[in-house]
Amino acid sequence: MQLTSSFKLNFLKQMLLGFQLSAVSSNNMSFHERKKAIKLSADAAIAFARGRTRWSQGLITNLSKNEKNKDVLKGLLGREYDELSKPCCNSWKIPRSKKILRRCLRMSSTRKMAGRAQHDVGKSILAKTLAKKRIQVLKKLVPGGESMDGFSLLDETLDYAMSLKAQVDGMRCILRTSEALNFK
Amino acid sequence: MQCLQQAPVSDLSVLERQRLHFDWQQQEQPSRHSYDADLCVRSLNSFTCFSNGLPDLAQYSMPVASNFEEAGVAVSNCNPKRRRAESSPKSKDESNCKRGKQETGGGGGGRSESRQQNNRKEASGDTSSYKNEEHPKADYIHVRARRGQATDSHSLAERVRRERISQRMKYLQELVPGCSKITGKAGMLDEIINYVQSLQRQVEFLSMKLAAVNPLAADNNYSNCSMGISSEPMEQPFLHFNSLQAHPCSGLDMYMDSSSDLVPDGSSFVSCSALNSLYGVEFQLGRGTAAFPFQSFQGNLLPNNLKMEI
Repeated sequence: MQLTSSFKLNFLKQMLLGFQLSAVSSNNMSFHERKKAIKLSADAAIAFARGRTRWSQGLITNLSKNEKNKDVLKGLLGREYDELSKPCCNSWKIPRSKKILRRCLRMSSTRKMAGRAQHDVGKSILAKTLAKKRIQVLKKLVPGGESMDGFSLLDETLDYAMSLKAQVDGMRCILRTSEALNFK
Repeated sequence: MQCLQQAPVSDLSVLERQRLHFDWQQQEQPSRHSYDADLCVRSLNSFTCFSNGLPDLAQYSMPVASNFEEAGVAVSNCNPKRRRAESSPKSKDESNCKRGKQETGGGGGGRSESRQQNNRKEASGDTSSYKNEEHPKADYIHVRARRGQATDSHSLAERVRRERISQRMKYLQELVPGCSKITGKAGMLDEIINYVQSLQRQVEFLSMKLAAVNPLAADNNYSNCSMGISSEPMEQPFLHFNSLQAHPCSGLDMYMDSSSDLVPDGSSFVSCSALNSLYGVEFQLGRGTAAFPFQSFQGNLLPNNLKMEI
């Protein structure tokens, strides 16, 4: 639904522009530097092509934490850089409210335990803790995920997974092209 | 009413319960209706402020049943402390206004209508679920509703939350390959985590490959490519850039059309004529040093052509 050809084209354009900006093709970069520059271009391109979503903002924020990347990012994103690199405003509220939430949950769970049978509670608590652990892992995976709650996290994961797939496909396309040309 | 008491709550789906409540509701006094309208208004109030927080759900084709859970959230968000007795004509006007807003915001009259119905059903369900407990009170509408709302809203909110999560899980299930058999939240989350991690690793790996392949040419070659791409909005004109007549521009088309694996036909979409000099035969790194962390990749993710090279 989102993977329109214009989206993919945008991504490819931006990525090639990023390659150019970070001077990937020049001789004096080491392998690791080149790889980092390519990855930076690819990530910035996919975030830019997607537009304003929370994961794209988080991604740009993470990327711009490294001072060296800022020039490339600014050149690539232009005006969008300032808009996209705004940190999520909720990120500081969440740690404080978590303690309160945990206290409430503990109180409510003790109240519920009084009403229901023990084995039901055990199962539900087990399922909840399992799901919670996985949600925490997912929060670390999705950029900007720490400041999202359960629902928006799942939405952003969906969006992010689709964009990652488009990114992988685009990079593979360029790779195969360049390899095919290399064999000539 | 007897059917309410006999049927265990867990067996009936929520919609069936609401229908039963609504049917039972209709036998009640008409004084109930003002309270229902009141609840409708408040639920609509909370819904309009809640609807801004809903993410890009419009892009997914939501079934109509999903409106029910949205309505349910609205009802459950009603704060019992905010309850006031409102006159029925006033509340009806408000509900009409809110309905108008909903229609413009919700994107379709049909959806908002079903929302209204579901709102009313939810509202009636709220009040009626505790009717069988406490009958004989003079102003039992207000008192009982407050008590009912306080505890019932939690269970309703939980149910609505669970339904929303399960719906998103369904979308994710369609996205992640090979997940149609897995049921349960934890297993699905596992698969999603694996999938996202594998995609991220693929990006790392591909960037490494690109760094290895990528060479030694001047910057102006890339600028030619990007300028060429930017000036041509459609993918068809890439054929004009094809200096290698033997290769049809199939790779780029396939990338654009599908998200599946590409057949390496040697797409020449970046083949500006100057690009040929880019891809000289020299490789800086050398193919021999296959120092890629293959052990960190799942085997089925390695594209076939890479295996051939190594």
